[in-house]
Amino acid sequence: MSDNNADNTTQHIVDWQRLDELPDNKLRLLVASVVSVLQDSADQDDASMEGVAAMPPGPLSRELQTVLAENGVAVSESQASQIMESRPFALLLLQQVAQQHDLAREVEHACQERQRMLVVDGGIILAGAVLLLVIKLKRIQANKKGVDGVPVASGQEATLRV
Amino acid sequence: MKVSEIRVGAVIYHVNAVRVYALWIDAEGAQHHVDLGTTTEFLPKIDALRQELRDTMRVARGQVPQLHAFMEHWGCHLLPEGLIEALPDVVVIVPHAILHDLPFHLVRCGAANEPLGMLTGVTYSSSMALFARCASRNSARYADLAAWTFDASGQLPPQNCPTPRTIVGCGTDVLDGKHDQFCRVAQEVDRFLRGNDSRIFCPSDGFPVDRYQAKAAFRVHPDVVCITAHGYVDPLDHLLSGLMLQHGDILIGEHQILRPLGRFTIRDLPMRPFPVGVPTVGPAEILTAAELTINAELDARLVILLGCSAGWGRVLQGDEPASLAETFLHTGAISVLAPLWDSEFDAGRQWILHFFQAWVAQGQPKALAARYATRKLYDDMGGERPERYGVLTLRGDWL
Repeated sequence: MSDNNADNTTQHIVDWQRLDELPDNKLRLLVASVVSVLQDSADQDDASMEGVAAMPPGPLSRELQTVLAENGVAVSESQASQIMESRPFALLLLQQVAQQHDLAREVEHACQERQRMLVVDGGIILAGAVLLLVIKLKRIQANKKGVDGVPVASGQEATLRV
Repeated sequence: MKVSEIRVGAVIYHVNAVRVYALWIDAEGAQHHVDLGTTTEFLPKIDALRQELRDTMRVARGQVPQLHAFMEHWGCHLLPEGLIEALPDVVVIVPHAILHDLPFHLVRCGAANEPLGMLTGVTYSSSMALFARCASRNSARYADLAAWTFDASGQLPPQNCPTPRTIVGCGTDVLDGKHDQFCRVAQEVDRFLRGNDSRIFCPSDGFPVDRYQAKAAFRVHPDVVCITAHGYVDPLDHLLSGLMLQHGDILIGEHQILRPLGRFTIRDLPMRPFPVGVPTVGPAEILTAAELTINAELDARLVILLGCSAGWGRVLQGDEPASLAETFLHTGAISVLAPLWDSEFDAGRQWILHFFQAWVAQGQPKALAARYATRKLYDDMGGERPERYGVLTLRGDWL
């Protein structure tokens, strides 16, 4: 029986080098795993963290817009919505996660546990939920140019540090 | 132990806007009205628990503090005083309103501080009327219960036990194509039954698992139906929720009507389109609750639903929980085994095999077999993962 924490017995079910080959449903699963792991590192009493995974896309993108604005990054509602459902942005986030081996291993373990469930994975890729969490957790720097280069305007090169 | 000597009690809840009550009927038939507390006291906790158990990622990772709080702290306040002291062998729990789908069987109680479902056999029914209907059509109740004996330790073979013989089972994974894994549950259960007329449908063996085949399989009146498939919950209309099966090519259904009408045919089409946005490995369709209630003949002694979202749902008008498990009971099943939340596949499979060891090999009634299965899985897992050992519940008749 496996315990709650990531351990060495976790099989490598995610090829972090070939993330861009993941189909949408697997990518969605991986993003959901990142959200879950990041929520764990949040303050237990912070109710705003708790609700992120359960929020529908509309309110989530508005929340993202607000949080970005608080950090001096002005994005329109449609831009926030685009970030929310953006596959390239999700890949970018995951590539950053892959750089942090402990976090990546934990995400992989969460993903593996989730795959054992008899569950339908539907919905959309909510990369914005990850961004929202990392900003709230202060694990990402936001400034007037963007969120360490999050593509708030078209054509901007996207870079991100988690 | 003789089945006729089994002591059965019932807890029937009533919730109104102000208070939560229970009618506790002990094994001697004496009735005790118990005031359990205010509705406002329980409502936020129930809401938080329900929200947690709907979060598949939290359940998958075993991060269920609300469930632990329910088990260890406030859940016992929902059990009537006297239940634990006079603990019967079997308890029929009839929830009401906000109490539907609560895992009462996981509440820790007694001197050993163990989950209720390990101390006694627990079965759930959404109403006493439904329980009475399930019990009244249970052929096992027409057996000589005084002659039906079993040994809970499993050392002595059961005597005069109306053993189930036939199973119709199927498994299909329309999302990932892991049909073999899904079929394995029914195949393993079949080994306990050893009936000659059992039928296991597996897409890998060339047997499609579609709506038409499923309904045709129900019509052979098996003792056990075992379905492993993904479930789909329609957020707006429960009757359009159902099981995700393969797409069938047969669109014409043939029905036999007693004279003078004879045979006639109907267009046997799915009652809803397949939901958009759910990726599948091949064409798929949904066997809906609506179709089951209209066009399925079922009188199985046990239906096993091992699939996501099969055992819970919103409470509809008339205090009817909108779940697939409930639909199968309405359709004619005597008892249903279904998960209360999204289940981990291996844990569910292990629980079912333990259940069949007790029910079929040892001849125990179903509620006691559920107790046996929960204890075995609890012992295997060290009791730390209630979301796994406690996910499956028995509904309907306990015998």
